[in-house]
Amino acid sequence: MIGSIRVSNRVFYRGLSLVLPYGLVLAVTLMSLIRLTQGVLSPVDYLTDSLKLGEFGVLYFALAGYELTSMLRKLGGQECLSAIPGAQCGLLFSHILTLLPLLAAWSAVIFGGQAICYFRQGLDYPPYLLHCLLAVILYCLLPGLDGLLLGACLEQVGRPAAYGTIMLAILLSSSVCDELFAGGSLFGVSPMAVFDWFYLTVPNGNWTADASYGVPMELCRWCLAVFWCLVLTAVLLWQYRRDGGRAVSIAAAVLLAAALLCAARFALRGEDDLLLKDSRPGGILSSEYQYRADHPTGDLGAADFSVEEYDLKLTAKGALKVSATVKLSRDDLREYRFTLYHGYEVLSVTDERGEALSFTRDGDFLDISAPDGAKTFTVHYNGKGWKYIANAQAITLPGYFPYYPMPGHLALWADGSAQSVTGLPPARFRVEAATPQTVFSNLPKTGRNQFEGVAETATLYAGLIDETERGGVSYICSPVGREQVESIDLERTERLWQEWCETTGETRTLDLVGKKVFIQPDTISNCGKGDSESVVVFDDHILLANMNSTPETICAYYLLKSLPSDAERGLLRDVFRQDLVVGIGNWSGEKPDYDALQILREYPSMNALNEIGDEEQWFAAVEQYTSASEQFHTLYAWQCSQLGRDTVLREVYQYLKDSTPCQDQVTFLYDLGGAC
Amino acid sequence: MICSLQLIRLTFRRTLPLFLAPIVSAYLVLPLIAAAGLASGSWETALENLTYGEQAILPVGGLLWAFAYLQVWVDSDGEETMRACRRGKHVCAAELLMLNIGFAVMLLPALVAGTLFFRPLWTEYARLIPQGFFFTGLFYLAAILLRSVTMGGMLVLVYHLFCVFFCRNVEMRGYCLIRPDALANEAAFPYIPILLSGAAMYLLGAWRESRPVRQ
Amino acid sequence: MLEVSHVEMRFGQKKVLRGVTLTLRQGVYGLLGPNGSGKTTLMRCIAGVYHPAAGTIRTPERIGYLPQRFGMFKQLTVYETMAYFAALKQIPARAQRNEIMECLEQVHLADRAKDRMGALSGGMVRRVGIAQALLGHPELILADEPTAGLDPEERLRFKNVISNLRGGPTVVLSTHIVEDVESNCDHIVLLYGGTVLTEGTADDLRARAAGKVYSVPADKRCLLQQPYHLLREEAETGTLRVLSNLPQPGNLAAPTVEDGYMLYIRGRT
Repeated sequence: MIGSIRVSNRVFYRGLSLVLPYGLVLAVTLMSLIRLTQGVLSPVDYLTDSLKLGEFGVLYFALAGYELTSMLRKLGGQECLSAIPGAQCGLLFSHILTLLPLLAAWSAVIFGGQAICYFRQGLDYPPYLLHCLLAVILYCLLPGLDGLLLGACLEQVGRPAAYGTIMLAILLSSSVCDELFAGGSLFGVSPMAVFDWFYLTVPNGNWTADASYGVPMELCRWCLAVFWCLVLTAVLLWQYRRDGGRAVSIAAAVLLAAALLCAARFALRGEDDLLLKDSRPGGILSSEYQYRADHPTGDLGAADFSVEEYDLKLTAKGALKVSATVKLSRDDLREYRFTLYHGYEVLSVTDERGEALSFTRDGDFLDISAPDGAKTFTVHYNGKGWKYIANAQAITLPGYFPYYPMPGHLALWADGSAQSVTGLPPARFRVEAATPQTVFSNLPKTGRNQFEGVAETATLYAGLIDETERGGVSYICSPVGREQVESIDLERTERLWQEWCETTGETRTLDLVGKKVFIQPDTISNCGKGDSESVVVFDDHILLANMNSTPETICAYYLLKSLPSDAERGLLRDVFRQDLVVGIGNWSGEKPDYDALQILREYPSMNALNEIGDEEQWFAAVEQYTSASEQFHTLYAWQCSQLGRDTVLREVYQYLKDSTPCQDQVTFLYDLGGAC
Repeated sequence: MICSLQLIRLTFRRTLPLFLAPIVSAYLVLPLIAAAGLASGSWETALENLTYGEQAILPVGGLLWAFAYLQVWVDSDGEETMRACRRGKHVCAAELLMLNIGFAVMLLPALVAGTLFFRPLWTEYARLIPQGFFFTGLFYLAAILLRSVTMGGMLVLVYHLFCVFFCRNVEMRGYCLIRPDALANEAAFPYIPILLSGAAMYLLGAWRESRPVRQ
Repeated sequence: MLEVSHVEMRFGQKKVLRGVTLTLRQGVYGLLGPNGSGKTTLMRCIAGVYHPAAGTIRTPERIGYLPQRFGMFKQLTVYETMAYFAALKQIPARAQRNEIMECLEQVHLADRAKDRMGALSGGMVRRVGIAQALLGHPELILADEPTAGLDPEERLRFKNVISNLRGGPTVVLSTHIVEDVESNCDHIVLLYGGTVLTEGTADDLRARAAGKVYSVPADKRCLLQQPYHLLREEAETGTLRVLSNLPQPGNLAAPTVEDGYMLYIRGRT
């Protein structure tokens, strides 16, 4: 074997035909890493972008593996070796061993880039480095190894066929198929159900990195990468079983069996809570919209009871499993109405005596029948929470989201966006979370991942999260995110709120001082977020889902939170928000023409243009709409210059607050102040 | 010319999958992609997907033809004999140019069909042709200089992958000739410099190939 | 000793070896036959490259094999290539250098030990192939077309190499060149259509053709009686060398091994 390794090394390093391309790949990798560091990228964005280089590894090592292993056959020396038992097998694995250090070195360069970015940004969060290391192994080292093994498996094949196969493998293992086919379906089946079996490199070019979650590294992804390693190695061993003897055949069989286990685990990934941020039917970008379109919200109504205590035992591994013991304020009712997110399947409900109780599930509603009354229920459920993810990698369970049974039938969705549940009476919470991650909560900590306290709700976060204190405020957020949290001046925020309340006539209070601040993950902001979720205030903590959390944005979103979020007034809401946050300014020129804004009356939002069936008309309409939107902004600025900003703010706010406006947004703004 | 066409035909007889792959991509895969986008209910999605697909697949698809042809003249066992038949004066540039033209002609019916059923795609076509020309020229020059289609192909494929994955990154976008993320009329494409660069690489490759090998 | 017993080999529907049975003891054997007779397939079966569909083959432990087409990595030197084979044949590291140089001496490549394989001519590469077959003091040496690509001087040297091996290992040379067999081999095995036609010595083959080879003047061609087989036309002497069971208008010629070979082959066609 040592002789074979020596030969393989000499052959590889003395011939330029494989060393030069390695140099090229290394050079491109280094250049890309350096160029990326020059951009203004957060560590996690840098990580996601740099992991795309993993595809280069698949390309190079597949081609190099093929060329190196097939070289002897093309030279006519294979027959000589096949007469010596074990020689071919030994040489083949020597070639693989020759290329492995190069693969490791290249992966190390990519990891080095992460480390440099980490230290350059002055971070002090070691779990992130470990995360980077694992990510490089999963998305660079293992795919490169798979490519290498594939090239070796193609050793007996002619060059055109081998290269064609390798190029096909590269296309399949990259994000190209995801970009092209994720949103479609064939006979009701998403093509990604097939393509996912080959998708080895970092997900989706469009992927906006989530700082709390990091790069997806769920167990099923590891199983997939290992599956291909095992399968390809088994194929290789099988090809050389005659040469290697019985031991090789047995090894191939064992590897194949192990591969099947990995395949089975990957096949069961449908049960896992995965952060699928592409447009596939089950992904978070479209699944909830589809569900809400198919299942309109039922009858809402407050509960005629309250909850005194919650005892929540959560397990977050593949997905969320919960055992929720709920102690009620009264035991004389026959039916108890709760809201529990529809993605969780209720397995059983038992009373304090352990007897099973019947229950019905209708969308987000859970109704429990207790003919003899009950003081305490234990509800066992598991499932997935859409963008409120809970698995071994991260937990994002904000307290306004019913991941545990909340009393009453509550609205979780309205006007195309998620709604937050607030205003519930306080209860005693006892929470125990079984997860490898460290969990952060608004509740006082009593042990590792154990919390207890009295609060309106229990917010649970875990992942690439840390708790920091700045300016006397405790922040729970990701240290490696896009927005490095500067100190949010909560007192100034409260003062600004007072000013805006005086201007707009708003009567709600916004008390922030002394509360913990949870900066929500990007996934919350990027997906189905409405104004309701942007700023959520509880007695003991605040949840912010903005990209830039400043006093202006916090107040603006809190102000808009209470407004109806109908699509017909979406444009005016956006302009109003923009004016609050950055200011629209004044326009002292000509008042925009009313007729130029007609398209906005017909199509109040960009999405409404999709009703246009004809493709040419659609393109024309998009152009017109864009121009009209700009005119709408100008009209707003003109009104500010005419009437004064405060007046405009007040009038617009009152109009937006009205649940049954008498005018469309265009006419209202045009005739601002005029009667209906 | 007839002889060149015959050479091309004979080459493709033994590398039929490589010949068919770009055709299947243009006439089966891309229409499927467009149809999937339309099924999602949005013209915009369909157009984005189609642009992504044609930019990600077609330039490198055209390279397969060049690869199939060139690997016979650079790397194969019969290379020596074939060059001896031509008294060492054979230059592959002419056949590669024919393949480029053939590829452009092959895409025309797809373009017409796309224009009829979807929208005018002339700008995309006008972008694809110089891209294919440039890539083939680069591949040809690299393969001749390095005397290996492996190295030449790897050079082009690495760059192609780089463009596909980093075209959305603000820092890297300037280096990307292939832009799956943008329509032809949105992305400023340097038609003339690319065509001239491609031509220069063809000429350099032809010149190098025609020179006798020196020890 | 090499024992081949009822070996069969097929590729798809085509039967290449049909029940070949051979027992080869010490000595130099020539495996003679036309193209497509199964020589290379039989050699590969003996070397273990192919596994026969039927039959058994018993070979000694140490085998040296020179295939029909031999090539090695161009980046390696001659010495490194030999060292690789030495390692594969599990020759102890301490003994490798001497053995390698000894084998290279035998094929007159000792002075090229540091040259890269890519720098050698085709014939020299072939000699390296012969050298690696000699490594490890094999008990059986299989050489398929060993003199292909060798110049006359090298063919003579190869003859000497084989001569030096006499009394040692069993050597099997597979070739269609009758002169090689005649000059190198003690025994000849004639293979045709996947079966063994005959076994014997060169004298046996000559004796088989005795009284059947005629030298006929070219102008008497029209007087030749069928059936006959024209072996060759000798333009310088103006005669035809003819093989026939019937008397022919010419003188009987001294038979050669080739004549005996042709007699067997023609008898099968």
